[in-house]
Amino acid sequence: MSKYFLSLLCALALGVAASAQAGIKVGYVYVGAKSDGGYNQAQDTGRLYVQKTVPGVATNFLENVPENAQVTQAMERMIGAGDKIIFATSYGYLPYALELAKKYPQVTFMHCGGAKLAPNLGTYFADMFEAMYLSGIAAGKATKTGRIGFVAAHPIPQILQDINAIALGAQSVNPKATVTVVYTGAWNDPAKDVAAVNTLVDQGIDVVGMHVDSPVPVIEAAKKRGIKVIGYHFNDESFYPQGWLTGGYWNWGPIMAAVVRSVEAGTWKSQPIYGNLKSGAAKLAPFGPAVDAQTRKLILDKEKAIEDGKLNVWAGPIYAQDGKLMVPKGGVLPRGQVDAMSFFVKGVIGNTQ
Amino acid sequence: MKNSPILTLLADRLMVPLLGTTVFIALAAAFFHFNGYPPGKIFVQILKGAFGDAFSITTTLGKTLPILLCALATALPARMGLISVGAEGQLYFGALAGTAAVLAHPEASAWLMLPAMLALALLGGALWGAIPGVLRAALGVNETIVTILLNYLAIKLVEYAVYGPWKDPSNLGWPATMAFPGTAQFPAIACDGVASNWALPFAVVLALALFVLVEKSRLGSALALLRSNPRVARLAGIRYAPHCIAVMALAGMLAGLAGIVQAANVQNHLQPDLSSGYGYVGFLVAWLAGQSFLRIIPLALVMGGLLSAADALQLFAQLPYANTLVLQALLFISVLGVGAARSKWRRA
Repeated sequence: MSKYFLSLLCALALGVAASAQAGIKVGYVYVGAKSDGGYNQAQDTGRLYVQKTVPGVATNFLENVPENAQVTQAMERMIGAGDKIIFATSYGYLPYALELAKKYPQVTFMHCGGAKLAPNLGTYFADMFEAMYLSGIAAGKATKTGRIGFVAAHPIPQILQDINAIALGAQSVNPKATVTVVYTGAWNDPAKDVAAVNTLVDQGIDVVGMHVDSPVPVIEAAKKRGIKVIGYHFNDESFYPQGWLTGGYWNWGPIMAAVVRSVEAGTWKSQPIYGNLKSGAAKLAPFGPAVDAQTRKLILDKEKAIEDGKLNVWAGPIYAQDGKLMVPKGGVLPRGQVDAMSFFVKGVIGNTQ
Repeated sequence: MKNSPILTLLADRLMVPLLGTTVFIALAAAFFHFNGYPPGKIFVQILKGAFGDAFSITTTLGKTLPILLCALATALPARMGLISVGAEGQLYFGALAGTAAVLAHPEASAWLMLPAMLALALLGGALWGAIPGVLRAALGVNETIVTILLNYLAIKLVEYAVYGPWKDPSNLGWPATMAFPGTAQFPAIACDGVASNWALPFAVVLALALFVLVEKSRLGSALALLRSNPRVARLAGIRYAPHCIAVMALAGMLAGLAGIVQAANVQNHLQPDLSSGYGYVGFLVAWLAGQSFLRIIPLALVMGGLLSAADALQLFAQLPYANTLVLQALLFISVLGVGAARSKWRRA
C-alpha cells in the first residue's frame, strides 16, 4: 500500500518536473489594452491564472492587435517565439486563426466565442446571459422610471442574448420595464459610449448596462449622470460603488488552465467549450450597496435555481418585440436558436439590425 | 572656405540625418533607461524584430509599401505648398473602387482582373484626391481641412459597403467582402523565405520616377514657383488650377494603389481597419524626409521596421505596446528638431 502510494507520489513529482522542464509556452492576443477593466482584462486575468496554477508554463501576450491581417503577423511571431498554444481572444480573429491553424498543425489555437472549429482549433465561451438575467432583476427593482438602457457594440447574437436576458429578468419583477438599446458600432469607442449614455439618460433611463470591450467609459458617464449601472466582462464595482448594482464577469482561468494541461498531456480535443454560472466561467458580480437585502436574496435564490437546472432563462412564454409568441408556456427556446439569437423580446426598444 | 557650397551640401545631406539619428538614439536610450529597461538589449531587439530573420523582413516590407506610397502621396502636393492629410482616405477609396472590379467579375482571368482592379483603384484614389484639389483651385477651400474630412467619409463608405451590400454572408456576421480570388492579387515575390509582391518594387520605381519628374524637369520649378509665389507663377504663364488638381489627383492615385494592395494582398478582403493608419504614418514620413522623394524610400523602410518590431518588443522584451508609439514620437521630434535647428542656424 505504502509502496503504491510512494510510486504514485514519485510519478506525480516526475510529472510536475517534466512539465516544468517542458515549459509549454502559451501566447495571448488581445484586441485592446490588457488593463481595460473589461473584455481584455478578463482574458488577461485568465492568463495570469494559467501562469500561476500550471507548473512550468510560460505565457506571453500582444495587446492592441486589430482584427485584420496584423493578427496573423502577431500570431506567427508568437509561433516563431516557440508558443505552442495560442489564445486568439477577439471575435474577429477567427478567420485569421483558422487560416493559421491550417499552416501550423502542431500549434493549438483557442478562439473565444467562435462558431467554427478546425482539427487544431477549439473555442471557448460562456453563457453570460444567465448572469445578465439575474442583473436584470436588480435593474428591474432599481429603476424608478421603469426604463433601462443598454449600450451595445454590434447586433450580434451574443449581445442580443444579453439584452433579452436583462429585459426578461427585469420584467420578472417589474412587468412594465423596458430596455432601450443604442449601438455604438465599435467595440472600443469611449466617446460614443459616453454619448450613448447621455442620450439614454436624457430619455429618462435610470439604469444602464453595456456590452462593449471596456465598460469603464459607460460606468464613468453613469456616475456623472447619477444613474445606476450593471457591469459586464469584469468586476468594475470600484469605479462607482454607489451606483453599482451587480453584473456579469468572466472567469476564464480554469477553462484556460484545463486547456493548457490537456495539451501538455496530449489529451486535448477540438471542441466548443461552453461554460455557464454552474461551471463558474460566467459569474455574477458582487452587489453594490444600492441593492437591498430582499432583492439580493431573490437574485441569489434564482442563481441557485439556474445552477440546479430548475430555471431556464429562455423558458416560455416569451413574446417578440411585436407581440408574436416565440416560445409557448411550458416550452424552452432551443439551444440552436439561442446561439443564433436574432430577435428582441417584448419590451426591448431598438432593432436587431 | 566659410561658405563652401560642398560643406553646406555635406551639412545638409549628412549632418541633419546623422545628428537627427544620434539625438533619437540618445533620447530613446534615456527613455528606456529611466523606465527600467536596458537600452542596449532593447535596440538589438528592435533590429532583430525589424530585420532579424525572414519573417521579420517580410512584415517590415509589408508595412513599408503602404507607408512609402502614402508618403509619396503627401510629398507631391507639398511640393506646390499643398498640405494634404488625405492619404488615408484616398487609400480607403482606392481600395473601395478597386474592390468593385473584383466583385463585379470575380471569375475573370488574371489578365483582365488585375488591370481592371488596378485601374479602378487608381481612378478611385485620383477622384478622392481631386475633390480637395478642385475645391482648392476653384473656391480656395483649405485643402488640409477637406482632406481630413474626406478621410472620415472614405472610411465610413468602406464600412457601409462591408457591413451592408458587399458583406459576404458566409462570413457569419464578420464585416468583410468575400476573399479576393488569386487572380486579383499582385504576383508574389519570394526569396529566401522573404515574401513580398511586385507592387513593392513598382512603388520604389514610382518614387524614382517622381524624383526625376519633379527634380529634373521643368515641372519641379513650376511647382516650386507655385508654392513660393503664385502671383509670379501666373505672370510666368503657370496656371494654379490645373496644377493643383493634377497634383492632388496623382497623389490620390499613389495612395489608392496602397489601398488596393492592402485589400488584395494583405487583408485579402475589403474590410474596416484596412490601413492601420498608414496614411498618417506616411504623412509623417514625408515631413521627416523633407518632402524628398528619394529620402522617403529609406525612411519608409525604417518606419516599417519600427512598426514591425513593435510585436517583437512586446513578446520578447515584455514592453507595453505604448512604447512603440513613444519611439515613433521621439523619432519625429529628433529629426524635425534637428532639421529646424539647422535651418535656423543657416538663416542666422
